[in-house]
Amino acid sequence: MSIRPKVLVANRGEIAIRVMRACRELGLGTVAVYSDADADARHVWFADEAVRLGPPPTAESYLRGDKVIAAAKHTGAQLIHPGYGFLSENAEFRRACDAAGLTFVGPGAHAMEQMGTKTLARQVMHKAGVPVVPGSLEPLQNLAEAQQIAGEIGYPVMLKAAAGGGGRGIRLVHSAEEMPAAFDGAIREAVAYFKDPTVYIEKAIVRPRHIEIQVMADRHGNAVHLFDRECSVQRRNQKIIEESPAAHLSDATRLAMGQVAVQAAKAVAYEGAGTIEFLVDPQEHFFFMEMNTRLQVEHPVTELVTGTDLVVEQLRVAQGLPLSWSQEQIVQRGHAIECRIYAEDVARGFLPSPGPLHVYRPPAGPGLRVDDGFCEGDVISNHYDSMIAKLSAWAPTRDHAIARMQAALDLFEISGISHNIAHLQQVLASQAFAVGPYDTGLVKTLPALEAIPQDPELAALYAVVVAHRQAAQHQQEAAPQQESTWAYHARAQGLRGR
Amino acid sequence: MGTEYSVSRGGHSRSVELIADRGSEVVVRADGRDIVLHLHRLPDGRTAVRSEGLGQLLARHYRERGEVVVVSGNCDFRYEVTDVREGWLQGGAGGKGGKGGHIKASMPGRVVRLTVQPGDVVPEGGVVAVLEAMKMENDVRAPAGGVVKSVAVAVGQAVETGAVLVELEAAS
Repeated sequence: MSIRPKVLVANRGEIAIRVMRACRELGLGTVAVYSDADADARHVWFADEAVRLGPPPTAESYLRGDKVIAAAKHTGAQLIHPGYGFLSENAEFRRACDAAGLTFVGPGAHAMEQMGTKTLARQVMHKAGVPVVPGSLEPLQNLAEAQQIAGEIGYPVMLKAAAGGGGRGIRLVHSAEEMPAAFDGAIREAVAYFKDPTVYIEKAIVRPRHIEIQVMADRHGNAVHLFDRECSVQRRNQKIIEESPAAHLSDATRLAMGQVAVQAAKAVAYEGAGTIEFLVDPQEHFFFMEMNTRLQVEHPVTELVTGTDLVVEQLRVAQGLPLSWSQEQIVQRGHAIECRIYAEDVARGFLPSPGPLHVYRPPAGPGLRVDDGFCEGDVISNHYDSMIAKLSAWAPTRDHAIARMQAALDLFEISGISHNIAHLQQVLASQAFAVGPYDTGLVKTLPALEAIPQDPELAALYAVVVAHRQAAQHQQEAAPQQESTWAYHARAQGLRGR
Repeated sequence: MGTEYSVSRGGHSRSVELIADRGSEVVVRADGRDIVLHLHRLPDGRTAVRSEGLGQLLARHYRERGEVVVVSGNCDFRYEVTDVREGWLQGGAGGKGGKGGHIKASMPGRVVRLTVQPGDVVPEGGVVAVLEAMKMENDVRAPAGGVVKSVAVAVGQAVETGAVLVELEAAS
């Protein structure tokens, strides 16, 4: 009798549940890991078994590769799926998994190192014939060098953490005067978040679009792309709305980008799911920005338009199977949009807003998909990312997908924390998004949201009813109990019996 | 004889009198006119509120910091409801904060930097500290200009929402 293979999912929240869902479909066992802050989190109870890692801070829990490997050993899990973030792009962890005889679901350590260090990635891609953004190919040694290169390529420039990703560790520098403070800040953030002070410099492309290509490769030398995702709707350099296909991109450019992405994956002997991020200028020139050597947050839009399951494919490829599809078999059908629902206060500069989810009921319906990791009553912790859920909508056309998303966002019952749904709806309704073209500056062009939206008359009247009834109940509870109800009824019976 | 309430939201108050509560039917008087509300509790915990001419609303409610929160879809509306006759605020006032020259943490987090010290003059909107929460650095700014009287926290310290970070006094 063979034992059912188990997958340890080294992550939390929606992505842990997403991965475990795929495991269940494939008949694989699941092991969750958790910090003390997540002891009762949904991903813990979704798994077949769960192992505690440590206290809430990520450095003592989800980033502790040694504890994750020990948990896999302890539970007999043979595979480790890292999700995104945390240990997903950590080559050292990948090596430790190999040494422990565990299968890491993702690319080899070498590919991870080449792509994970952004400066090295730029060199490798440049060599492979992939167009890169002008800037430093080597890490910056000091402020003077940063100032010199910036002077050569011209301001504005971006300072980026070589080990960064997910929009963190990026600073836009407009002028030479801003450089000293920005350089210090970039290094401090790089150390704080990625434990690596290396930063590099890139020319800031004016009015860029952020379009990426999903790739998938196996260890038998096959690599395919699954077309594009447009991720230009961003705030604080983080994506909030993604769509596939990109709305205003010629098919010729789309195909050229796909081919270059496959070329890039092959150049590093890539295995598994990966994403090549490009900056695209208004003339549709595209430049390699970085490769994410993991599953992306926004993978659902690709799955919706291509009819694939990228996590199932990741798990198959990690077990040594060849890719399920050839390039010709992958087609884009219809249009998909994803909205990221964040616990944040839009009016106050998108400030994170951790707190309790007093009400939480996501919508459902034709063409909708919800990826989430919370239940009503859960608390959004300040220790982790502030994303609550991803809502995706598919429809035959882009206009229909936008309408479907708007209707679904209307019905998303949520309260307790501040959230960005009204802001997402504002973006979807904007002329720039609906008609286009738009770029990464879109969010900044929108007017401030109404601070206090008009309330329906019935809501105010209902609030009075609620307050009235609660006051009446308090009075009743506060009133001194003359006698117990049982005693009252006994006395009543006695009286009647006379 | 009903009970008169003052309902306020976002700085605007109005008067609503609750005339009769008959369970599934409640009569209120607002803006000089009687309104009959039909209430129906659904199995999923929501309440359907209907009224002739006002349409219908599917809502949940809860209380937080003395306010009644009515949730309808992705919108929530917060009301302070006061019994006018008794002058009794239902559940106590919500904290206004920010007054008295205290600059407070608007979220739980960790102090990563303090950019002022006692005696410094801070302009309106000037950064006084940087808080790290959810892996992001967030600037804490002075809501009004002033002179720093004291700094109440240290770098590295974890703070909760509402914790005083810096005390300001008016510039003379």
